[in-house]
Amino acid sequence: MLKRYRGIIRNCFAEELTYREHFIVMLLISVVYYIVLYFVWKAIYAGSGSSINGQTFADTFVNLALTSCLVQCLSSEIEWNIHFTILDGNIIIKMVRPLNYMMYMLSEKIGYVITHIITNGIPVFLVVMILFPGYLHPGWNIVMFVFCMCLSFLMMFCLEFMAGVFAFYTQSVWGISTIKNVVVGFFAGSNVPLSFFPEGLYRIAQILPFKSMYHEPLRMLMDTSMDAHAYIRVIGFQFGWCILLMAAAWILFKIMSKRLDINGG
Amino acid sequence: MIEIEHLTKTFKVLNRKEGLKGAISDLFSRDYKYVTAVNDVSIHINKGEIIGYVGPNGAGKSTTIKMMTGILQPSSGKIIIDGRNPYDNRNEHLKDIGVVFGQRSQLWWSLPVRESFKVLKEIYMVEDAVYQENLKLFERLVDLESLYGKPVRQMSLGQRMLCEVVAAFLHSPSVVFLDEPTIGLDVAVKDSIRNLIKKLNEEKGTTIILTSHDTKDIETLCQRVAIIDKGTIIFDNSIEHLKEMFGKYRTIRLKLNTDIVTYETAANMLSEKFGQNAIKINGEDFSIEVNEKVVPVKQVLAFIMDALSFDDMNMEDVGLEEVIKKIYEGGAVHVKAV
Repeated sequence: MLKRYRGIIRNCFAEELTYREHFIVMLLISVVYYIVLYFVWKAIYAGSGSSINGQTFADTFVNLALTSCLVQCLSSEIEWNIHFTILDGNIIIKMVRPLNYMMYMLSEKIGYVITHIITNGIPVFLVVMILFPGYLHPGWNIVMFVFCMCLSFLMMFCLEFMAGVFAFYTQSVWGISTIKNVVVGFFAGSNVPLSFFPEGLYRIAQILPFKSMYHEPLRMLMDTSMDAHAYIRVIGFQFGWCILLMAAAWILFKIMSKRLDINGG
Repeated sequence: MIEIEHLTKTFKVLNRKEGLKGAISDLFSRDYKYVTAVNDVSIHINKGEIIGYVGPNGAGKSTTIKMMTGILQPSSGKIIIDGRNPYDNRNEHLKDIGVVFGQRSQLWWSLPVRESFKVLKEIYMVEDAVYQENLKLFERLVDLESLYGKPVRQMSLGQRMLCEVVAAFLHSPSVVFLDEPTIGLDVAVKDSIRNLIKKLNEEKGTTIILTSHDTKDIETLCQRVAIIDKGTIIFDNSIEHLKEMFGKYRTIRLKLNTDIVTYETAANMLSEKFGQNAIKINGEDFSIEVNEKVVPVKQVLAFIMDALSFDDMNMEDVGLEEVIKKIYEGGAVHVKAV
């Protein structure tokens, strides 16, 4: 069954590689981004001593760099692919394949994400390990990290897929995609650190899955004090949300497909 | 084997108002109307048949095809293709059909076409032996091998369409829908596309449903044609029959020797002899349309040879195009003949 989707993953990845210039520019942009991040925080620390909020420069930089790297790796905004095929009616080409549409989209996202991992994920992790030894503790926890990231990836996919499928009804994805990005960013604590949240909101952020999508996998690599119990708790939490989101995405897709009419003759 | 019985599709559309003010009030409007795109269509198509499905723009062709592929759910009526209902057994059904939309591409835009074929092979789980055999067949019919390594985005439209058609046959489907496969192509490429379709139909026994606005496509490929207008089938029979129903018209074009006889007197002589029913004279290029049901063309020719002096003459059949134009212009006149 899954063999049928292998080719789609391969082609999406190959398509990203086809435009060599684009590929190189993507790589350069991520290099520049991290250089800027480095010097901005260097300057901030130069002005206010060796520690802010109990964190050293290296603490802050490593955390920020790795988090934004994971954000980059997970998001491919698949909803925009869905949006464009709905607008010009080319979605019919995907619909006449004997495939599950949700799996089809998931395969495309995997193809894109592989590119992100190569241009962004692997380089950043390597650089951090070389320049800031002692932060990452690679060992058998890498297996857990990868597994955890896969769950985060699935959750992210479900959110994007739901936003995209919503366009079957609205014909446009811009609004819903923006809302999704804001909500995820806010509750993941990437705009405002979670420790700044008032009590109520902080609780909500703990229950929602967004925080754990980036924060928990990273903790597995960095925090040596995590025991088996903690691992199980994190993975159980993510697993539960994953199932919930997949069910929601599937139900929404089923409802929205009734609303789909194909544009153009 | 395709059986369609009393197929109807109704869409609910918002009655849109004019201008910016209208657009704003449309946001809150509940003023819907129901549009029937396909109305009580019944067709039976045999295995291995090529049927031309024609009709003016907006007649309901694409809607019918979307229902036959299982993408749209019919409002009422039923479709059975190879014993299956396309909408309910969508996954099984889709494995067994191929589709070409002349306006869209099913190939991966930036990759060599070879890669698209490989993915299609995996999607449809085509066995290696079948795949190789099909590729060999395609190579025999058209020269594709030189194209395999070329990215689709760099192909000319003609090259791409050949690949699109071939891609639809890659998994040996039992039914193929070709929606305007020759749109925008030059005469030579149109010809090779028609050849390819005809040969594929013969070799593989595929049932083909072809829509096209180029009547030459229909004439060269189909034995049978179904004409749909305003959602209803108004004709469903052989092309021969279609031409006959509209009378066997022949057109004679004359270039008179005006020193001896003027066009006006010639016209008068002809209409006097045969009457308005039998012939119709078009003044501009002096073409005489003969209705063979009333008078044999031989008789008209004999009269012309005898009574008129002319420099040049030629004679032509009324093509399918003329016939179809007459039907479209006549609106939904029922000329049903089954």
